[in-house]
Amino acid sequence: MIIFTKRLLAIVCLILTTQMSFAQQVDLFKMQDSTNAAEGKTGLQPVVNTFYSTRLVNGHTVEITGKGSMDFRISHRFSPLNLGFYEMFGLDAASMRLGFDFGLTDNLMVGIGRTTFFKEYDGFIKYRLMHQKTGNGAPLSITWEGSWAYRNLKMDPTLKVTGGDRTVLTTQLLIARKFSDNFSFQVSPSYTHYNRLLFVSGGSTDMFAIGFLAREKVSKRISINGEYFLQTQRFTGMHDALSVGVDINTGGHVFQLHFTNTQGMNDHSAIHETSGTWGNGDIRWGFNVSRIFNLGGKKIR
Amino acid sequence: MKILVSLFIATFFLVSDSGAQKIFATRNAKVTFSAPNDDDVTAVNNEVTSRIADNGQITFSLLIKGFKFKYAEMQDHFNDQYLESTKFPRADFKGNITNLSEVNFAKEGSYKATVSGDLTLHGVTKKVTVNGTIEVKAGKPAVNAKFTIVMSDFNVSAKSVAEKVNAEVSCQYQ
Repeated sequence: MIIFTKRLLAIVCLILTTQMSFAQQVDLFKMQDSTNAAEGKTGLQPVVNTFYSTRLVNGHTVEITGKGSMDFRISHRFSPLNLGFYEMFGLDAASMRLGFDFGLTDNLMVGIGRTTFFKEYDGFIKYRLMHQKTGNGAPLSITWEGSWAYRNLKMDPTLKVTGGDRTVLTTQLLIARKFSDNFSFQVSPSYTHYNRLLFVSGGSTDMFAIGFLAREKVSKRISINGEYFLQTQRFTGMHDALSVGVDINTGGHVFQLHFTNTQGMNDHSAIHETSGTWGNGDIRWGFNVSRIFNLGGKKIR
Repeated sequence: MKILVSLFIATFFLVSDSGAQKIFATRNAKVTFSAPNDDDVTAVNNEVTSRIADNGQITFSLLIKGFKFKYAEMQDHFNDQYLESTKFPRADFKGNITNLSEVNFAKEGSYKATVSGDLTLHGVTKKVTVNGTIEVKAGKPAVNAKFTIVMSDFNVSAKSVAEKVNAEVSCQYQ
């Protein structure tokens, strides 16, 4: 019996020491690596910076101005290049839009603006319905945008133009995906309603179009952009808007330089009222400058 | 039989006393950082995973996107322009307490500790040494430390914002 117990003691001691040495080998570094690997597979993070700004050239992107931020936007479209040297290739005259955009919540923004083109006031509201996520999360970002524009240009009193006649409404669904760190693509079906056709003819009071927006980042701060709006129906003498440009993001400022055949800078005029074509050289140089001001940030703990 | 019983008791005693290494962990450690010359540049991450063991090992792991800023635009730039969090989603620290003999995890008290280890940030791993305190209360340790991170050490080009930031770690382990 005693011999048996001694053997048992030896065995138990052996087991005990091996267990203890196992315990000593617990390595926090390895533990952290395995936790990180496990979390990496499930971590869903919203995708940021699908585009650098809330517009690409004229078209709205899925981006929403950050909560508590004001985006002061100055946009210019010069005259067409084909006016030649006397007009300094269009630089002697410009249409301009001044705009103020506000980020109200993480997913909601509003904006107002004034354009010299037809002396228009405009306003819009934009709401993010779905936000693309990393990993196995949502594959797309979807934002809804609705805008209103009011043409304030003086008109022949005999036309008896009412305030309602001067108003144009546009709504767009913006559907985008950031395919890689550099490449993003967006499709924006758009519907515009004119209460009365005033400066345009042909077409109808209900106009449809679909926008294609793409950007390719060439460095951390610079992207090349393209934007095209395909209309289902065109007003007489009007064409589809095609724009190419460059974004320079300095952090706080986004400078957008582009060439476009459209003069308007709000939804309906940029999409449906483009009188120039690229073929004729009716190309305008233009730029948007976006400057972010922080009005009130959220409290951080 | 008596021997057998005492053996069992002894075994039990041995295991519970000198047994497994003690590990303390938390998923809610807090890491904050701020730029010394711009009050607005300050961010906090409350979801940091950290472990500490009485063998002197200490680890931290966090998601860069977990840093919350006062201004959303700043948070976007931080992620996209500076830390490139899509490419490098995580920051990690793996270190050892170098003066472990002066820290007693089993006894209540406040101990000054020096931790030396590898900090991985923006895909770059660098050796850092940090001084802090370990406070043991009711059997649970809490760690507090302050240190400075030089952005260029980690290949982050943020000269226009801050060349270095002050980081602060505070966590209560369970």
